[in-house]
Amino acid sequence: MWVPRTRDDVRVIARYLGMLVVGIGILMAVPFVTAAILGERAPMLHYFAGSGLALGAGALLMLAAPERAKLTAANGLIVTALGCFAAAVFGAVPLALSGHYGSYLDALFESMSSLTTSGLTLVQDLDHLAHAHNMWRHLMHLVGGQGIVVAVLSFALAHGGGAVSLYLAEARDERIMPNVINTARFIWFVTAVYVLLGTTALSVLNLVRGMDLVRGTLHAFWATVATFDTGGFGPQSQNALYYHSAWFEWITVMLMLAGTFNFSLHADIWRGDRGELFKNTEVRTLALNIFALSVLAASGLAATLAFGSSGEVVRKGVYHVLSANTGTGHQTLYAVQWLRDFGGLGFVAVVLAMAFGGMASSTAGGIKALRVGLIAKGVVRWVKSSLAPPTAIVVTRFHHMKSRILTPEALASALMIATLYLVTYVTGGLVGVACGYGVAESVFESVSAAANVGLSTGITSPSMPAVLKATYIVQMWAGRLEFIALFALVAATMLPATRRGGR
Amino acid sequence: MPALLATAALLVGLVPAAAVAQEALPMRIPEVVARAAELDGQQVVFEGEAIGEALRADEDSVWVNVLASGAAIGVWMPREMARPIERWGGYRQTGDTVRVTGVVNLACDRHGGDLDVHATSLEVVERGTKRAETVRLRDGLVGAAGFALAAAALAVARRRSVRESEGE
Repeated sequence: MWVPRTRDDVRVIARYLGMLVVGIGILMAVPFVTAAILGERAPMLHYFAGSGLALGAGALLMLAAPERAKLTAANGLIVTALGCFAAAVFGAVPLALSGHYGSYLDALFESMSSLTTSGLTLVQDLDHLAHAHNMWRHLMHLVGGQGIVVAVLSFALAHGGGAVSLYLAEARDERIMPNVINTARFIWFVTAVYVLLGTTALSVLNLVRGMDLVRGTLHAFWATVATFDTGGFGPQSQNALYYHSAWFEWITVMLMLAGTFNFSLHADIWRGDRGELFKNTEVRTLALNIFALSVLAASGLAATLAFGSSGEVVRKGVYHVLSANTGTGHQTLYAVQWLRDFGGLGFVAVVLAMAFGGMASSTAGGIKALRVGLIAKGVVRWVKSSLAPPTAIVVTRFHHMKSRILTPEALASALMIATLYLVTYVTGGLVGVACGYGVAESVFESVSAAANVGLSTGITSPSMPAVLKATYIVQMWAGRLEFIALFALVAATMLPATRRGGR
Repeated sequence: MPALLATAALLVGLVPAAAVAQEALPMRIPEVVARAAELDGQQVVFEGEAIGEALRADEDSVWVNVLASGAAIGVWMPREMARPIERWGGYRQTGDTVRVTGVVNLACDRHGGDLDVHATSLEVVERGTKRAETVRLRDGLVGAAGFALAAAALAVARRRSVRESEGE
């Protein structure tokens, strides 16, 4: 039976949505202050306008329901889906005003890409973009990586029921601490530690290499945030290639790995329990995945004969497989090189790495290593059952924070989400082909969008058709929310709201 | 005599060719990137804006990133060669336009397999200029209207809250 929303539900949803929009408006104070300090007068006004619009609209929405209105789990799903889109809509305003985007749709694409930590970009003339706008693009990575709802939870919500609903709805199914607010705060604590470490290391590197203090520190902060949050934006059009530095690549590799780690694993490491690292099915799957795909990518690169030494092959191969697998999207190649110079095997390895993705409950996207591991164990169990006597009961275990039995429900859930990702990858690929692009590039770009990676063969550009921009926006949105919240929103939209509650 | 004629013919053939090479039109940077496989190891000439800053590569050399027609490429050169560049492109200014002559590397062995150019010469052909900021009153008015709306909504919420507490 489909349960329609009541008008009271709609009011509560509007109130919580308003809180998220107000949160985005408040967050715009950061680029506003950046612009003020650096004397960027025009961007100051862009953030004044963006912030004003978000605060005004958010405050109006908050009037829809009383302060003490509780949020149910079902309504939490809808708030999360709508909240992500609403944040992108308002986050796009200052970008659209900057004059660096061909249209509002391009700016919306950028803010959705930023908030979902995808990293695909439609910005024009990035090398002349104001620091304030770069700050905003990267700040949205940071907030999106932790989960925009988690962000608001940490600083605004105090009532437990709504907080739990929103936390679970944002594709985060693990509570690291006994209390969900403490969990959200722990996530921010881990992030702060890595951002501090990464920014310090990259600042020193940038200063040694000749950047001035302001640019060096800002670039370091942006690169750290874009990498730890597995986003992939950069303040220069060449992305990671701008720096021409093996040190930069090593530091970002460490941050990519840290960013793709499940926050529960961070908690275990923090508590001094490193044993989990070696037992965890998800860690093992990801390690195997990265190793196998790196070998595949390196083989593809070696086969092109373009690279003079095995060191170059390993450096390029491992960096891009890691960038794809963790969903970061940093690249030290030009877009045209993917098909031309990376070799067939290398190309396939990177597409597979993007499709599989990083760990669950991390900042990464894609199917996720835990699900890939469970599906693999499910296949093994299936074969074992086929070979066992009819009376035998085959039990398969996996380790994820504790030893667990692989239940039919867990396997079905993993298979369902993996299937939805595959359908989304194929659908985006078909739209790309329908728009006149080649099959290989279309599939690459579609997987990159839906798995929130950000690597690009060059299709993603201001000149691509509007229908493809809209398709990628929906893919990034759906991929970040792992579908269920978006499906709940679609179902709720199709069912008319009833006058009263009392289901 | 035949040897003399052959030498003369060679000179006639060579001199215009050298002149043509010197006057060759610079390539566009997107073309250098797109044709890097066939240009690998060859000398090219291109023009573009020096962006960001000179990034130290080692004791004696730097990286200069050059931007034109929407694409940028890293040019590796001796530190001294980059000295004539005064303005570097960014938000506040357009960088100096430089003419670079250098060798294209599809996968540079010296620099971890990156696609780059090793410069043999660099000339500043045009000085960079300040970029104007467009400050629009409209943006300020939109922001002010939004803040006014937020203040009004806050006032309504306060009044409601007071009424509710009085009702209790």
